[in-house]
Amino acid sequence: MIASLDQLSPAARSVADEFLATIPDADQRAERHTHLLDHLGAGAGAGEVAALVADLTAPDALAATGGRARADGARRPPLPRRLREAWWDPENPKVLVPRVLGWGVDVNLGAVAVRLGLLEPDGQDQPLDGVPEPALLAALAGPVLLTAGIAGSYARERTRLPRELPVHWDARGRADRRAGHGPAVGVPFGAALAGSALAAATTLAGRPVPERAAATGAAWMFAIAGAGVWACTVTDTGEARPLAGPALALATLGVPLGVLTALARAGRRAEIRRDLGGR
Amino acid sequence: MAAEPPLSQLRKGVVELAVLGLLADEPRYGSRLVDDLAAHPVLAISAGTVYPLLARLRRAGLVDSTWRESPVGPPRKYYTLTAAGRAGLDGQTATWRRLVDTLDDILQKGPR
Repeated sequence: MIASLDQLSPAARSVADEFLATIPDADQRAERHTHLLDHLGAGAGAGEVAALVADLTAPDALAATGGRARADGARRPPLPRRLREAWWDPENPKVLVPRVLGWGVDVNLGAVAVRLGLLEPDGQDQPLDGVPEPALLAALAGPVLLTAGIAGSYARERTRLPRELPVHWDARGRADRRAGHGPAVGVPFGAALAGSALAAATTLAGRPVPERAAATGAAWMFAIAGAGVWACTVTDTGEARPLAGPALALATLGVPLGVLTALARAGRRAEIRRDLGGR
Repeated sequence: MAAEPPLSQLRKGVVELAVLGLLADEPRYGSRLVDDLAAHPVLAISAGTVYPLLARLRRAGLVDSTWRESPVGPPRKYYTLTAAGRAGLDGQTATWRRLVDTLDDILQKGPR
């Protein structure tokens, strides 16, 4: 979030000004202006501004939020923004929030970070904003490497693996269902790949930093889950492993919590440097 | 959905005025603002209400925030009223006084 378009680089400011100049209605122009201020960080480049402008120049039913119109005509923000708003909202003290995809609840990791004393509720003007580019790219590398690791592990081990592999475990951690290599490796690899692809696509599309960071957190979640399931699959001995499930569940939430907290603290440090004059 | 208790509805209407009023005195950081508000139990304002409110007031341009060095630990984010915030506080205060005078009048005259 920025207080003025003056905080943008000249190139980024030019894109924003050109867009606002195309809006004849003063009220609508003010609304779009506020929307730009709310969703851009001081380091936003021209590409990021152009991506946000592209959202706002979609047909009127989509313009305010840049998302897809639902069947009932209501507007829905893009998935990375919904992920950020649900999964990382430190100002909201509720840990369980309505699910972004499907039914049920999601975990507001931002609230968890605040409860654990890792971050203040107002640690950033806009959650996950201002994260330096190297930190974002470094965070994205992890899920990509894990995804590649699953594929590499299968390529290396497949000739020694039994024809059927575990695809489901009971509450005691004992495999109670087996299937061929296709589903056994396809599901964990597919999950990891989907998360990494979403994060990579969000980055390549030049989406705002908070959305990229949230998508990266989601990528870690899917990559940890996929890699964990695959590890259980290839190390299965037929014995019960009651701690495997809880450990994997803890890691699936704990690792993204750590990554997102680290990114938020990096953004917080950038804000502090901005306000304290580069100290 | 169950109806909200009347007192809760009343409180919601005055939280913003209370926050603007405290910030008019002096800049405050978030947790201190929460503590100062908690010193007035009748307001029953928690951190979960204050921080989203501060974010909304900042987006509306009524408050500004900036990090400052702290003598007793890491930097803290301080909130101050903007010119628009002061104007908003003045307007809300005038409205509040009229409301209080009107309600006092009604309650004194009406049946108990």
